[in-house]
Amino acid sequence: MNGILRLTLRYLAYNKLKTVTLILCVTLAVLLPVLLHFAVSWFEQDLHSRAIATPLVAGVKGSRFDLALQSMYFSRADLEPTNMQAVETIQESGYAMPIPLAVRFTAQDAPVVGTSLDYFEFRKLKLAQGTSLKRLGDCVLGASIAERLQLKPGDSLMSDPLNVFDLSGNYPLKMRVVGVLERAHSPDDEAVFVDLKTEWIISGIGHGHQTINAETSKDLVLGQKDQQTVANAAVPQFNEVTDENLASFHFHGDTGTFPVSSIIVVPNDAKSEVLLLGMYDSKDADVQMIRPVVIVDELLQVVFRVKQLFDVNTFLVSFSVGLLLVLVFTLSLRLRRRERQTMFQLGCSRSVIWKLQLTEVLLILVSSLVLVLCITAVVRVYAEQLLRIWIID
Amino acid sequence: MMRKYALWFVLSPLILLSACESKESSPTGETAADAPPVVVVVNYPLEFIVDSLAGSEVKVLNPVPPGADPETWIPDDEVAETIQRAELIITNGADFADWVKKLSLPRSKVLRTSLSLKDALVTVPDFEVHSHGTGGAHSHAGTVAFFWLDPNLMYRQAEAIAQRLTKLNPADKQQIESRLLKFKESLAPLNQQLDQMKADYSGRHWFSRRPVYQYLARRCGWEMFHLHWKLGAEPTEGEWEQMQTLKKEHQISGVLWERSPGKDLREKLDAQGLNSFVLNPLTTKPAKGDYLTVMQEQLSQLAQFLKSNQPVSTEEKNPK
Repeated sequence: MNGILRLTLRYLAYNKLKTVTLILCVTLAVLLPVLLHFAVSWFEQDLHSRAIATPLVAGVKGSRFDLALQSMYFSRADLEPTNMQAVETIQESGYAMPIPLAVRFTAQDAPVVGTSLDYFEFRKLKLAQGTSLKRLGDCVLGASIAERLQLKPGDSLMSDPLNVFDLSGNYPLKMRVVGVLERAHSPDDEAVFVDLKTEWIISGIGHGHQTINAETSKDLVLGQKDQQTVANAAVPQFNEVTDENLASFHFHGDTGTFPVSSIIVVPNDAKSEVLLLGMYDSKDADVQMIRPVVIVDELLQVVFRVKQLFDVNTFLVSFSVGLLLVLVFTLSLRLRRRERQTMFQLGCSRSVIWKLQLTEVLLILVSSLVLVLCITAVVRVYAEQLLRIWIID
Repeated sequence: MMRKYALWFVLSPLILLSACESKESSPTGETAADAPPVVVVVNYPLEFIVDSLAGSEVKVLNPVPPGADPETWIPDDEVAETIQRAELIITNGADFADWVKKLSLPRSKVLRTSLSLKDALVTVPDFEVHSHGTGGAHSHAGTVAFFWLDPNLMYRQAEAIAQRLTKLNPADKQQIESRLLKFKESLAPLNQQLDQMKADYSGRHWFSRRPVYQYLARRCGWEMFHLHWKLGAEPTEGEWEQMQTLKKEHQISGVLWERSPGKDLREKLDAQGLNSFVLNPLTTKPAKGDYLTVMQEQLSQLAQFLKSNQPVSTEEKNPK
């Protein structure tokens, strides 16, 4: 090994505390602007790629930001739901394929996304294990949620009740896990996907219950008139869809009025997209149709304005940290004057002594940069989750 | 020679890799294959229409097993997967076929033929009688699903199917169009029979167990009243009384049955002055013949039945 490098390393190793302090100082000074820069660019990239992949979104009139984020990231916004009639209207227009989304419930704190099978094809989601949704009560898990809950096809997952104190509210549904999706590095990894009809069962619009026999279930029967048996409210509803009770599940009311949180609209072509946007660009329309990419751009403009402030701050902080480092090294050189004199008397040339000092500074800087890179790489792995937790939720 | 081996060495893993990739399936279970596109239908009349229009270019799959009721049959997971993999799923609409409501189906592949007849749909206010909790029995409105019993509506279903089949296979557009014309012609005898019946026996009032014959009745100028009698169960005293009141009120003289009511019930009804006629709506494939031949035969028998059971009031209305 080169003598200068060996001597520098020995010196740094001997002065551990000083070396570690200097490395940490430089690391922290560099890390903040680097992370901020990457965080903003990841955020921009993540939002943009998701927005570009979601051509149009329809939902009830209200906050456009909430509508876009709910449709793309399944965030829980207090948006009024629209209904299935809105989905049918878009489908019947012939301009686009509507993909309904119902995002009102959770299972183990993960969003339960009620949708149609078209969603998987639209997002190009592949199965890692099991099969796709087959019938009422089935669910397919995103890769992260399956990993977190340690679930695989064949297991069950219970939906969370909206309000544990509301006895007349919706009943939790025990869902059959039929598949786990491949990791998509998107919010889909964190979601529990069910059929839209299953979501309606969780919300209580549809249900299944035992057949009442007036002779054997006297405690459940209020009255018997001709062939009609009137049962009381104590009739237990099924909280799980099985092969045996599947036939008993039914829905009440007009399907057109059933709730849908938002609709992803996939136009047939550019002309259809314009026509659709025109169709809903009216004061009288109950539904608004938005281009998520436009909303994301608006959102990013705000982020960039904040980032500009951070950039100025970063410049000032970096400048002051740089000055501090110069001061630290200058003082260090002064403190080591006797050491340099000894080396000179031992026969070291001035250039070698300077090389030793510079190598020391370089090693500290390089170590700091390596540390910054390592921390950045680790943060990158969890960046998606962190961004979603901090910004979307 | 060496270069040839080197080429094989490079290409063979690529070929193997591409072979493995083709087996991957999406959540909808799609696989690339050269097999003809599969079109799933929910009942026999739709199967008959698709068979008449598509020829051998598509594989028509009616998943309902023989002997099962297409309205209540529910497929197992394996069949459900086959249905999901189909290129097109043609449903009847108006809640015909329970499995459509209970399975997860890709909306983009589903063609609801009822949407093409929106203006002609018949809604019945007491379609289903239901009870929950303390509220007692109440009725739900519903749409009658047996569109094909009116050949004009069956043709409109066929038009919607032809349009979708053309999208599925644009190269066959002309063939599909010519088959649609032939299909229209093949329905002509049924139309003639129904027109004749309307001319001869308009104004008839019928009972049926449940809402089934509304489209046929509208076509013939008849009115239908349903009894809501449970399938296979003996009507109660209250139901008999209800039926008699309705019979007197509307001068109803006949009952249309989807399947034979049984000897005892038929005799009881005869004694009440109600003649029974079985008109199979053909939701399942007949043992002999096809939709057209069997329906023609049934309509001829119905005309014969009407002739032999001509009520006095009708003769007065239509003097010959």
